[in-house]
Amino acid sequence: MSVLKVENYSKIYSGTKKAADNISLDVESGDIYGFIGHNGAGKSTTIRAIVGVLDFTDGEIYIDGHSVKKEPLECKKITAYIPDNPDLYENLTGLQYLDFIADVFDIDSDVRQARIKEYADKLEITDALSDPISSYSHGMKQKVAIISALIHEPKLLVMDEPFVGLDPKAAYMLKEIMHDMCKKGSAVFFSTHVLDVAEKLCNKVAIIKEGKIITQGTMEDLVGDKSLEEVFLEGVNIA
Amino acid sequence: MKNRTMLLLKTLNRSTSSFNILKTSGDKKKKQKIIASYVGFGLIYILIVVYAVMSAYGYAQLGLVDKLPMLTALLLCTLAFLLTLFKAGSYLFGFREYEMLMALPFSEKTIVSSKFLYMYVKSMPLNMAISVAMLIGYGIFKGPAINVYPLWIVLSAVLLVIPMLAASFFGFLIAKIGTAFKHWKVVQTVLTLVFVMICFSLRFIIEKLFRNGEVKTAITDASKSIDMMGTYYPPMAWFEKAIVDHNILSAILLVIVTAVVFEIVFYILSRSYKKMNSVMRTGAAKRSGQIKIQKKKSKERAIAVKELRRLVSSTNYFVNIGIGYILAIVVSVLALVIGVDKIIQVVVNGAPVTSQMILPAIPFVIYFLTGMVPMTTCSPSLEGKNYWILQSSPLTNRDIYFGKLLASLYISVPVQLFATIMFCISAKASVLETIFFMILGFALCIFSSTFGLACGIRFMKLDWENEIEVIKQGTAVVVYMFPNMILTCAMLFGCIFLSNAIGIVLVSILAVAIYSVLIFILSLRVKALCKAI
Repeated sequence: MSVLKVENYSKIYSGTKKAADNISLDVESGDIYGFIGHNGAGKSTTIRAIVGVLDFTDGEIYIDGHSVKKEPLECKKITAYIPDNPDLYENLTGLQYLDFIADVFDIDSDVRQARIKEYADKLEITDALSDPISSYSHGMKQKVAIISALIHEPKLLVMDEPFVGLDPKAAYMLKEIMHDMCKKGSAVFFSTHVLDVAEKLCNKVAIIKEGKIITQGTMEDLVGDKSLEEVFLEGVNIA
Repeated sequence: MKNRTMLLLKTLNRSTSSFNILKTSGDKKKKQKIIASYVGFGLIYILIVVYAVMSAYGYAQLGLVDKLPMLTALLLCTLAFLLTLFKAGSYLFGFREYEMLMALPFSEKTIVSSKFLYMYVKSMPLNMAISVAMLIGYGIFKGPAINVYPLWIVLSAVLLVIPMLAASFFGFLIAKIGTAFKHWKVVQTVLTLVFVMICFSLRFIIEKLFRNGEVKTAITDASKSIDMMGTYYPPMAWFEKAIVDHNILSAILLVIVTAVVFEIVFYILSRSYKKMNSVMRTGAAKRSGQIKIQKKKSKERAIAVKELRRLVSSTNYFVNIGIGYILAIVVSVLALVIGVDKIIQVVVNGAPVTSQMILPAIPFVIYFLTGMVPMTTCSPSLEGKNYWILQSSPLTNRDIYFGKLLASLYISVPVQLFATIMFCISAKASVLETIFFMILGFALCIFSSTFGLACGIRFMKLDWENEIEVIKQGTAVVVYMFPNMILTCAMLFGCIFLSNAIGIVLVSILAVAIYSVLIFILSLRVKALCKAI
């Protein structure tokens, strides 16, 4: 069943420049879907449209059957988004911020406490949660953003370059968390530059160049006996 | 489920509340700064309260005690409208955490209305200081029934909403028109400036309407004029009726109309909110593929140019800083075209003041506009999260802050000198007087930028959520404005007074000497602050 369905999505900037051109994607329950492309290829624009931050020119995006355009709130209730550079409320403590997110998603106190503790322990940030976010490093902010994304057990987790700034253990834990989510029937959609990670982690992948999808499919079909790096370089050089 | 608007409002307030930092931060230096800012703001609020109570006393002496509610309403509505006008765009659109909020299950209406309410809550201390002070005056001189006190406070808080909504709506319209263009920032800046100029002109037109003729007549007719205000803007009349006549229907009407206007405004705003923000957050990409070779600059000049680019790239920054300079240019050109005496008559409402009387103080008259808020009060804080770029560059703090000082002077000096020449020609000042006015004007620009820089570094706030927090409401701006205003007034009247005894040129030399000493002291302070960072 499709958790995320992108149909002929296009985004035009400044009247003429197409940041995304007729993109179609299908992310199913249990998928870890990698979205690969070089800088300025249109990855972040697409991701922002999926999570309802950016409006788009043409096409439709559905999350669990709900239209992002027509039912944005329904979509957001079951989605979590972690941007590449999370802008959190700097003057709140980590815990105050997580409490706010839990309130937004209407999570009961005991449930939120258990989930915050579980993920904070896994990501080794429990002790720092009572400090103001302004005192956190980039990686710590990323960890708080990850916990806030998981607090409502989303059906779809969308991430933009999630591994940037994470220490090796936190990166490993995030991968584990992604696998756990998928086992429970959720789906993960993320952009990355790190092709090795994508190759090991994802079961599906799409490569984007200058706003167009140049190839997509299951990792097995796409890669065959080559490496993802080779497929990517071939793809972007030919297209 | 909790009320989402209130939840977001609570979080927005908490996230920018210095009290929260005071409670949670372990940084002693930060805590000390917060306490110092509390003391500073406390003193300013005391000054405002004293001023408002004294005004109330003045009106009571003129036999206008019954008109105090209407005057309070007028003061609050005007302040709320004008102050919101400068910051609404920045609060409602293109704020930093937009992406995070939009990705959460909040409707556009919830986000934009919470942002408005947040702006409203932030403006409450100032508005309530005025309202309560006027209430104290009304209580002393009128002695109203006990229920008037809570009613006054509640209704004066409600009264602020419609002017703020109106200013926000104008901000929205300007942003909406702007985003239809490729270079939306330029269009938005020009439209905002035009609108602000219209508001300033309206102020004089309205004053002329209410006070036509001489000051004495104005006082005699004041009662009638005040009543007229209620017919132009009914919510003020409803406020007055509720307070003076105990008319509960008027109070209910005020609340209901405010709620209806609120709903309508946010219904309209939320419809194109996402589209407008999408445009604002992406900008126009111009990929020409050409690399223009820039001329090599000194470190200080490079920083100064960067500062000027920062100024013109932000509508809020440009409008707040630039308005004084633009007004100075407009007024000085008008002085040359229609004559300085006509301008004086408009400003002083027919009081017997001539250009020859203010001639010794021309540099200070212009400085009232050019020295309102120099760039240096907010440019250190505006570095925000990008501060690391300068910190990690091979620059000393002296290079950084001298560059910022230079940027401020690049703007203020030409404007001050241009306006001085225009005014001097119009007021028929001698060549010698003009030269000394220009020297004094130059000294004033250096003083203003150095004093602004000292405040800007001392009260530097890098962890802002919205740039308007440091442009419009920063501690540095407030700490700069009040002493600067008092000193300018004292020097202005001092120069006029002394020039009768020792002549204009000698007075100017004396003023230059005083400002030179102040600049020297402030330079030492800036140097010390640069070392302490």
